[in-house]
Formats: sequence, C-alpha cells, structure tokens
Amino acid sequence: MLESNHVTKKYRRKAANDDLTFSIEPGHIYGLLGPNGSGKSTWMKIASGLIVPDRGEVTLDGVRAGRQTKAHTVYMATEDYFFNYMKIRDVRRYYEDFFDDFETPMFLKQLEEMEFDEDTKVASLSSGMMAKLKIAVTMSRRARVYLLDEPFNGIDLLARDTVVKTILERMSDDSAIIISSHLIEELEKIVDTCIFLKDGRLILMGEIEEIRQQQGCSLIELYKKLYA
Amino acid sequence: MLTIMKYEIIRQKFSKWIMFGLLAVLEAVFLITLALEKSDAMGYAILGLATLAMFSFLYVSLESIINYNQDLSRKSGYMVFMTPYSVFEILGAKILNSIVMIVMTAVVFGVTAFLDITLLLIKNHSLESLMIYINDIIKQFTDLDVTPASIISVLVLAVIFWISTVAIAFLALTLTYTFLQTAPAKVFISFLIFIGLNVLHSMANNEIMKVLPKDYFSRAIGTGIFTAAIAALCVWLNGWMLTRKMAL
Amino acid sequence: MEFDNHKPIYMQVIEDITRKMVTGELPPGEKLPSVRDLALAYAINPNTASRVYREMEQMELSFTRRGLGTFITEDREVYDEIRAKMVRECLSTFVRGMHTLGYTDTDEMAALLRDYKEKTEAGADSDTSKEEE
Repeated sequence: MLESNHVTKKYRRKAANDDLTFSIEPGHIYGLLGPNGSGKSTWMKIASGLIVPDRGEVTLDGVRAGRQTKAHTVYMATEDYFFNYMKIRDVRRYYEDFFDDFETPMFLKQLEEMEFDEDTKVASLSSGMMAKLKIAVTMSRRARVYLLDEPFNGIDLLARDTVVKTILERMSDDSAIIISSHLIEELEKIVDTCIFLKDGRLILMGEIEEIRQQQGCSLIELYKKLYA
Repeated sequence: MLTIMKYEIIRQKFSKWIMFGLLAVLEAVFLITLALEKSDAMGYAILGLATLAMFSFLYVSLESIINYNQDLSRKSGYMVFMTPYSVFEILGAKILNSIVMIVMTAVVFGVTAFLDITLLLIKNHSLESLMIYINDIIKQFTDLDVTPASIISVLVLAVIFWISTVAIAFLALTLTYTFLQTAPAKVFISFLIFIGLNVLHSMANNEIMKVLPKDYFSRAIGTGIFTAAIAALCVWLNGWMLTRKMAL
Repeated sequence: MEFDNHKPIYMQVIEDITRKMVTGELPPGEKLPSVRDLALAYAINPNTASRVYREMEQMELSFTRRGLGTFITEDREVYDEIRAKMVRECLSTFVRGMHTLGYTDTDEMAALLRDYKEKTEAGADSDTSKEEE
C-alpha cells in the first residue's frame, strides 16, 4: 500500500534518509525506531507529502506522496502546531472543513474522555493537554496512513492507556499506523512490525512476535543490541 | 484554496474588529462635530481618522507576513501545509488573502474618506477650489490627467506591486527559516534579506526602464509585467524551498 | 496485564486464558470476546489477538462458529489435560527447587510438605482466633 522506494534526503552532506526501501501493508501497526537523528521524522515528512526527497519516492497505492495523498494521510508532528487564536471548537471546525474523513463523533468522544471543554483556548493548554489534543485530532481522521511522531511525548502515565486504546481502535484492514517513539515500553505490546533506522539507513525490519519466539529478546533488548 | 483563504481571514478578524471599531467611533465623532460645527474637535477627528488610516494600512500590509512568520516559527505551518493542497496553492491563497485585505481596507477607508470629503465640501464651498488645485498639482508632477484609464492603471500597478512585495517578504522569511535555522532574531534577518531583495528588484527594474519608450503607459506595462514575473518567481522559489528544504 | 516482553505475547495471552479456564472463570462453551475486544482488553495489537485465537484453535482449546464468534471448547477432557499439565508444571518447579536444596527422597519431600501444610493451617487458625478476640 505505502511503498518507500530508495528514498534519499540529504542535509548539508549528511544523509538524513539513505536509500530507504520498504513496504507498509494495511492492517498493521509499525514501530519506526532509532536514536535521534536516524531519519525517522524526515521519512515521515516525506511519506506525508510535506517534503520532497532528493532521490526516490514514497507512493500510496502508486500515487506519489503529495497533494493527492495528503487527503488520506495524517502526520502528527512532534511540535505543537495549532493556531494560538483558536479554541478547541475552532480546531474541530478547521479539520471538519478540510478533511472529509474527519469523524466528529470520535473527536467529541475523545474530548469527553480527556475532560476537555470545547471553549478552551489553545493558547491556555498545558503541554500535556496539547499532546492529548493532537492525538484526539489525529486519530479522529479515518485515513489510510497514520504517521505518529512521538505520540507519547508529554502524555502522563495514566493517559497513555487511553492513547494506546485509541490507536488500537483505529487499526483496520485498510489502514496502517506507523509510530515512532522513544518510549519503547509502550510500543512493545501494540506494534507488530518494527523498522529500525540508523544514520538514515534501514538496518532491520521484522515481525516482533517472530523475533521474540526465535531470539527470545524483547523490543528493548533488540534496540540495545542494534545501537550499543 | 478558498477554504484556506477563509481561515486566513478568520485568523485576522480580531485586528479588523479593532480597526473598524475605531473607525466607527472616530467617524461618529467627525459627523457629530461637523453637524454641531465644532471645528476644533472636528480637526482632531480628521487627524484621528487620517492616522488610523495610515496605521491600518501599515498593519494590514504586515499582517499576512507576520502570520507567515508565525507559521514558520511557531510551527502552525503544519496545520496549514498538511491540508490537501499543493504548497503553491497554499502560498497563493495567503498572498491573495493579503491583497483582499488591503483592498478591503482601502475600499473602506477610501469610501469613508470620499463621503467625509463630500460632506465637508457640501458644508464648506471653499474646499471645491482646493480640489481643483490638487488635481492641477497631480497633473504637473505626473504628466497625467486624472482619467479613469490612468486611475485604473495606477490601481492595477499598486496591486501587482503589493503582490510582489508580499511574495518577496514571504521568500525572505522562508530563506531565513531554511538556511539560518539556528540564528536568533530571524525576523530582523528576514527584514534585511527583504531589503536586499527589493534593492535587487529595483535595480533590475531600472535597467528595464532604460530600454523602454518614455511614455507613461509603456513604462507602466513594462514595470507591471516585470514585477508580476518577479512575484511569480518568488512564489515558485518559496514553494520549492518549503518542499525540498523543509523550513518547518 | 503485565507481559514478559522476551516471550511471544500471544503465548502469554493463551496462558492467561487457560488459567482462567482452570479456575472456572471460563467454563466450557463460554463465548470469547471478539478479536478486537480481546486486543483492547489486553491492550495488544489486534494481529497478535487474532493469532491467539488461531493458535488456540490449533491446540483445540477453542472453536469458531462463523458469524457467531469464538468459543471455549466444550470438551472436558481438554480441561482435564490443561489442569493435569499445570499440576505437572507446579510439581516440576517444586521438585527442582527441592533438589537444589538437597532433598531428593520423595518421602522426605512428602513429610516436609505435610509439615508445611499443618503449620500454615494452624497459623491460619490462630489468625482467625485473634480476629475473634
């Protein structure tokens, strides 16, 4: 469904993404892993159509990532990106306006679970609340590809279960969710395929349950093995 | 694209409320003092209106550029550029919105000024001769009759010029955020780049003027086309940089 | 539920389900949650959840009725087998532990076991008598 073909992107001579080739299939939750600077965010930005690679391409059902695929792709960046002048209600209306696949009932349900009031101004949100709002907005879209960059950042321990549940509920047979996170413990249970990047290159991709069965090591141990 | 413009307008609505609120207040004061023939107070009202007009123009001109800077620095750009449109459609919408705002402000203040001056003329016949005098001055300096054609051409040129100014400003900001990501005082640096680009633009424009015939309309058309081309180039460069270099 | 991330998660979920079978929480023929609900209940990936059911079916612990769902086996022999297996595992752990401590004789182990049981029951009695006071 989502194909990364020899994607290469360089920044001032350093290769942020170096010949990345792999396939993303629907019905799976992927963990995109690697230390800072390994190229995860860059790849996600290319896959979402935000930036263009130097070489290679990412295609969604054969269509190059860009204007047309943005309607079916969701990218949740690490930064806080909502307009400060908006209230939560305005954020909802914004996404309803631009995206046909935005599911308002799901958004309102998440707001209720997080105990948010639609009248609250974005500018007054704490970083934790902002992180939750980003998740709520992102997961309310019924997209083909979800690219979540560090979705657990800033989310307190108790709220993480809600986030995990929301992600699991979103998984379907015609969409794929790709999560990059430092908090690998959270990913251990929900991710079924892991993609490890190092210096922009793909060093390992595999099904986690198989790795557990054959090597008897957890995702965390595998991570340590690969990057120590 | 209209949806993007819609949200640019919504984003800028607060300043409009303030501007037009103040305008309404000052206009009311003007009308009252005109009716009551309190010429001193009326003078202050006129001064207030003129000052408000000046500041409003200045602010509205800058507002789109300020917003774009916010998009790049506060990362609200993610919200805008992840919408299902191409970079060029999005930039185009922002620049168009900037024009719409300026034109709207010009129209509102222009109509108000026209009405106020008309009212003054009705009250005070001696101003009529002043208007004729002003027209003579304009004729002398610009070698031009204040005809409909010339007014339209001036307006068209003003719009084209404004588009290119905003496009150059956007480009200056993008350049700073792309290549000088770690620099402090990005707005100041962008401003310097903006001035530099404008200087280059003027120099190129002068060269073109040298090879054109000397009448007003040839020069107007020449400048118009060149400036429009520069604007298009800036928007294209801007979009290219955003998608290649990831200013966000 | 806390998982040991070194072992396949689907196996640990099956272990948990078989444990529930033996304790009576999941009687024979009981309907199991849908794959989706199982995934949410254990907070695991839905693919892992469907693997749980696939493996369970292969192990004849459960069966699927098209359109109705997945059910725990009604075969009591399976229950007995699971119980017997769990008992063997408990005993194996016990015997290995005793071996490391130096006890190999079965009668000695049985005597220690009886002794232990009496003491813990007596202790339980004394606890209850204290409560009555």
